[in-house]
Amino acid sequence: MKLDIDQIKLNSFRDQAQVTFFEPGGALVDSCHSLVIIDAEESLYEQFVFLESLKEVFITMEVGDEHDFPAVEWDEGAQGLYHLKFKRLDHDGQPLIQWTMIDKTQDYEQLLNLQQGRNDKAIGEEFALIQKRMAEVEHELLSYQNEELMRIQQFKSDFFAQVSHEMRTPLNSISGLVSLVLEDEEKAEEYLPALKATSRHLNAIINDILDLSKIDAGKLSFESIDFDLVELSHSIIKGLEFSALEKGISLNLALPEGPLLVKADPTRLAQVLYNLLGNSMKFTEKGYVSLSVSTAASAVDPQKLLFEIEDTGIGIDPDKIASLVQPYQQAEDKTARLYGGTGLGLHIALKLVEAMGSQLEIRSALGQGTKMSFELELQKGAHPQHTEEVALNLEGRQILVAEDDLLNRKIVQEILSKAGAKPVVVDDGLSLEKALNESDFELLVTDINIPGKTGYEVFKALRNRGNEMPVLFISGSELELIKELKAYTHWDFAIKPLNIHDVRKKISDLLPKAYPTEVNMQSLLDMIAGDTAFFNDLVQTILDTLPQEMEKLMNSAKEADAVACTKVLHKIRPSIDYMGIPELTKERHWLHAQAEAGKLDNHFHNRLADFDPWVKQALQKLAKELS
Amino acid sequence: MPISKKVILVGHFGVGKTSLIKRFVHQKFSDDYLTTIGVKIDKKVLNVDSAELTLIIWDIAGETNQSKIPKSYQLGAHGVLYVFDITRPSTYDNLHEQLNYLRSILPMAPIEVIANKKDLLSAEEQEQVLEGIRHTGIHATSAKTGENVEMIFEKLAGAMLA
Repeated sequence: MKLDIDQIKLNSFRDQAQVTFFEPGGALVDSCHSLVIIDAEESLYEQFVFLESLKEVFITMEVGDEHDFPAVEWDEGAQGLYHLKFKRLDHDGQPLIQWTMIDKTQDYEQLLNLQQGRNDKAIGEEFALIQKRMAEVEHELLSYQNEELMRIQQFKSDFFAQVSHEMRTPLNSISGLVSLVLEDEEKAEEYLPALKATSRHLNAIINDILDLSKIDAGKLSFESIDFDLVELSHSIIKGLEFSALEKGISLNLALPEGPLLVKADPTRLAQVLYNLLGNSMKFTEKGYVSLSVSTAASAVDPQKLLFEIEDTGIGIDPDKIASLVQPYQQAEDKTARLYGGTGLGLHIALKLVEAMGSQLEIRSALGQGTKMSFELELQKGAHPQHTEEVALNLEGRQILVAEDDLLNRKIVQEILSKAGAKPVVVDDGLSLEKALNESDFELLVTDINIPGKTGYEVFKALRNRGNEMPVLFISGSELELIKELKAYTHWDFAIKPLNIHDVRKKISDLLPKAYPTEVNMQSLLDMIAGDTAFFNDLVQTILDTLPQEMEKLMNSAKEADAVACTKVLHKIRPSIDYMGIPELTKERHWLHAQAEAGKLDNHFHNRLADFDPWVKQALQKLAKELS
Repeated sequence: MPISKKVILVGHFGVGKTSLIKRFVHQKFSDDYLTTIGVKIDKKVLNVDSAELTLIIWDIAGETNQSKIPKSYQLGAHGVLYVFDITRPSTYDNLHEQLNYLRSILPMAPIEVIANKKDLLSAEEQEQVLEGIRHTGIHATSAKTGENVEMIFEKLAGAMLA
C-alpha cells in the first residue's frame, strides 16, 4: 500500500478549511464551499455581514496585502469559531481577494476557559483591592472619629473641671452662710442679703450653662415683645453702676433721643448686652466702659441698629480674638486666674447675636482696650404694656407652706406675710401630710421635691380625696410632671429663683374669688323694647340651652380640643352677655381668646373650672328672676 | 441606497460591551459574565434623520490595552464606543492614553466614551467618579436597566453621518 502523506493530510483537514476567491466588488469567483455555502449569483457583501463591514477595506487593498482575523465568533451560514485570512491577489490581471476560513470551533471551549479564568481572576483581584482600600479608608475614618471622641471627652472633662471650680466658690459661701444662720437664727436678716447675692451668682453660672446647652442643641427660642430699647439700656447700665463705682471706672451710655420702640426679645438682647458689658468691666481697671446704640434712619422699618460696647481695658492680642469666642476660652490661662469666670459669657453673647441674624465683631489691641459691635435689624414696636402690680390681700386666709430650702421659705413667707397672711410652715413631706389632715387650708404652696414625700404625691392624694384646694408648686425647672398634672385643675408652678411678682400673681389667680352673680337683664329688656312675653321666652331659652353648652365646653376642654372649645365659647356669648354680669362677660372673652390661640394650658383649665360654677350660680339667679 | 457603518466596541474585559450590544440589538440582559473570544458581529438597522442606517457592530474581546488587539479588527471602523466599568478604576485609569491610541489609528472615526454599570452606584458616587476622570462628554449607561443605551448608539450614528 502506497502512503500518500499529502492526500492523508488533505483528507484530515478538508472539512475544517474553506478557500474562496472573490472580486473586491463582491462577486464570487470560486469556492470549495466546505464550511459555508456561497451563492454565486449574489454579492458576498449581501450574504455576509462580516464581509460587508470590510467592503471599503477590500476595495482599497493593494496586491500582496493581508489581513488576519485570528478568532471570529461566526454566525452566518455556519456557527462556530473561525480564523479568517484575506489576501489581495492578481490573477492574470484580474484583482482577487483570497479568503481562507479555518474552523477552530473545537478549540472554543478551551480558549473560553482560559480567557474566562484569566478575566475572572483579574476582576476578582481588583475587587479585593478595592475592598482593601475601602477597609483602609474606613479604618482611617474610625481613627479620626476615635480621636474626635477623645477630644470631646477631654473637652467635657475640662468643662466639668472648670464649671465645678466656678460653682464650688458660691456653693461653699452659701453652705457657710446657712450654717451661720442655723447657729444663730436671729442673724438671718443680716446674712440674707449676702446669701441672696451669692445664690444669684451661682444661678447666673447655671443659667449660662443651661443657655449654652440650649444653643448647642439648637433649642433656643426668641420672643417677640414690644419694648423701649432706651429704657432697657438704661436699666442694664443701672444694674452695672454699683460694680463700676466699686472699680472706679466710668460707665457711659449713648442713646438716640427719646424712646426707641422695637419688637424683639428683650430678655435675650439684655443678656447679650449684660454679658458683653460685664466682660468689658471685668477686664477694665481704669478708664471707662461704654454702650452706644445708634440708628441710621428712624423712619425705616425694620430699622438697623448698631450696638457698640467699648472699654479701655487690658485689650486682646488680635491673634487670639478668634480663639476667644470658643466656649470656656480666655485669651491667656492666667486670665482665668486673675479675673475668674467660666469664659462662657462671651461665647453665649456671640451665639445669641448669631441667632438674631448678625455677627459680633471684635476689634482690640493689647493694652489699648476693646471694641465689640453688632448690627441688628429690628421691627418697630408699639408702646409696651407694663404689667400691673397685683394687689394681694390674704388677710385671714388659711395658707400652708411646705419648703425645705431656707431661702425660698423666707421669700414665700415674706410674700404671704406682706399680703396679710399668717401661713403655717412645714419643711418635710410628713409634716405636710400631718398639717393637711389636721386643718383646712385655702391654699398650699409646696416645693415639688419636699423631703420624705414629693409635692406631687401629696397633691394627688388630695385630689383623690376630692379636695380641690389650689396648689402652687415651687420647682427648680419646668415641671416634668406637667403631663400628669394636666388631668387636674387649680394648680400652677413658680420656678426658682422665685420672682416675687410672679408668685404674687399666681397666688392671686389660684385663690377662689368672690364671683359676682347678680344678673342685670335691663339691656336685654331695652333691646326688645319691654316685650315681657318675648323676654320670658328668651330667658327660658338661655336656661334651657346654656347648661347643655357648658357641659359640651367642659367635655371639649377635658379632651383638649381647642377648636371645639372656641366654637362653644363663641356660641354662648349672647347668653352670657344678656345676663348683664360684666365680670362674667370679660371671663368668657378671655377663655375664648385663649382657646382660639390654642392655649389650653393650666391657666385656662383653672379659670374654666371656676367659670363653670360661676355660670351655674348666675343661671340660678336668672331662674329666680324669671319666677 | 441603504448605508452601513462599522462600529467597534472596545475597552477592558468585563466592562459590559457584549451586554450593551445585547441590550441594544436584542433588548435582553443577563447578569452572568461570559467572555468574548476574538470578535463577534451583530447588526441593527436604525432610522437616522429619515435615512436607514445599518450598524454593523463589532464586539471586540476586552483588553487592558488597545494596542494588544490585532489592528485588523479596528480596520475600516466608522465609529468607536469606548466602554469602561464605572465601578472599576482599572478600566478607566488609562482612558486618555487609550483614546489617544484609537484616535491615532482611526483619525476620522467619532469616539463616544461610555461609563457602564451606572445602576451599581448612586448618582452622587457616579458624579464623584466622573469628576475624577476629567474627560468631558462621558455618558453613564446601564446595560442592565437599558438607561442611555439606545441614546448613545443613536448619538454615535448621528456623528458618523455628520
